[in-house]
Amino acid sequence: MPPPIYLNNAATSFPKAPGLGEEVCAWTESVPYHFGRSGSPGIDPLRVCRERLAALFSSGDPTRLVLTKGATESLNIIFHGLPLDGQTVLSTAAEHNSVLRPLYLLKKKGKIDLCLVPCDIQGRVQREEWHRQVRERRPALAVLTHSSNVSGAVHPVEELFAQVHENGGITLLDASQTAGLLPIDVDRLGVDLLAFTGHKYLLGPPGTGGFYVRPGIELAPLFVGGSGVRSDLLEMPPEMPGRLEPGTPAVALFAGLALSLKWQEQNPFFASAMNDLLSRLESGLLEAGARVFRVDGERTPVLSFTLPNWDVADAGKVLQESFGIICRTGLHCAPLIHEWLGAIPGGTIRFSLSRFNVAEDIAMALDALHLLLHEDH
Amino acid sequence: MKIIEVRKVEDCFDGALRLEYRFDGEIAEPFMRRLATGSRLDYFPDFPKPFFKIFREDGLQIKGILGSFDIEAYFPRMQKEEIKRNFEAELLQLLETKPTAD
Repeated sequence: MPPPIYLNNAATSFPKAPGLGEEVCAWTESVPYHFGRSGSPGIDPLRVCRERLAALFSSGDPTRLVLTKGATESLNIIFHGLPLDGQTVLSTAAEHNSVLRPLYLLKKKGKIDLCLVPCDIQGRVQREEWHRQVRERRPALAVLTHSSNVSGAVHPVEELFAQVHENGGITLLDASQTAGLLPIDVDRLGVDLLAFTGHKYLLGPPGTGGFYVRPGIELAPLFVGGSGVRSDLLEMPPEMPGRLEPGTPAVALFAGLALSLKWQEQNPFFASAMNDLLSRLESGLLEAGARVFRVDGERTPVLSFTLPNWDVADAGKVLQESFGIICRTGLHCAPLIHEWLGAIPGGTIRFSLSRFNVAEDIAMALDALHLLLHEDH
Repeated sequence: MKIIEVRKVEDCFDGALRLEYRFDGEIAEPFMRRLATGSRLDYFPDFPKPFFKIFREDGLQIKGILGSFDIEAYFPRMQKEEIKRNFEAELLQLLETKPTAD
């Protein structure tokens, strides 16, 4: 059987940046100096990571970048660290469970008033409704995914966030699907807080991620513990980013992320470069008789669809185990958007491309889908 | 052939149960045919690895890929525990029985 064709990059990217595995291994096998704790020779991969991320997000001071094990941890630290008691939080039906579940938990505990703005049929938030809710409810925090992980639709962040600021709120962008894929300038987009993960389009290892905090915004630590500095204090020291990073960091993994970030700096690439492959895929799916959840305007290389007479889970199993096409099926951890897309109860089959996919991958995936749709049984 | 692991696949939206039964040997066509006795069988023999899905009268659905080591069983919400008990008893019996020449 030929090697698998990987079309599940919105879940986690594969392959990773060249040299990533060797870099992580090298750090795992090297003497574990504790950077910033006991003095050390050489380069601190955490510092390098922060500097490269600050450049990627045009966010200035690298100490405002907090490193975590992923977007979920980042979002939880942010939600629990902001003074949100009794405040309104605005978000959307397009969000991932990494946003929805922590917010539901805070709502259930009676700490916040949660308002979720519906989506349109392409998976973008309904702009008029967003504007109305911001005007009327004046949320303390607005949380928005940069792009849907189900439909690929990219949000007009600048416009939506500008109004939040005008009404006295702060903004949080979930860039899990777009960091490494779309240009992100936190000042231009009006982003006060930004959560990201390292293992998707940043091409880094799973277990890496982080968030950006605009100067002037203070978060109370969700986790506290050893910091390696100011050990005489009974509370976390005030300095960023250590204040929000207790415990021993995953140095080897962040060395891997630092390498990935450098590789991407040297090999710049944006989602638009995949438009041709995406168009081929979309036309082929429509031609084969699939129901495609089409998106106009700016998008990421994510395509959701269903196949007539096929349960999505069955189709996913066949594509993966019989044809070697690795994809994702179901709700994709974003349960609310499917109602607006018209994809309930089963969700969709999702293909998500990366810079490493080639035309032959698309052709083979389409061949497999033709066979699924036209095979007698 | 023996069952070596039973794993819950996911919580279904409607309260149903989905379990994966992993075996110490590959799923072959005679085993699939015996599993499908008296039930509707959707079978796709021309896929690179053939796919099958069995629909039982009691609502149980079983699917798998020939040549793989597991099958997936979907137990509907109503009476899922009873259907599961019956299926597992039947499966154990089937695994202990040698297939006939036909």
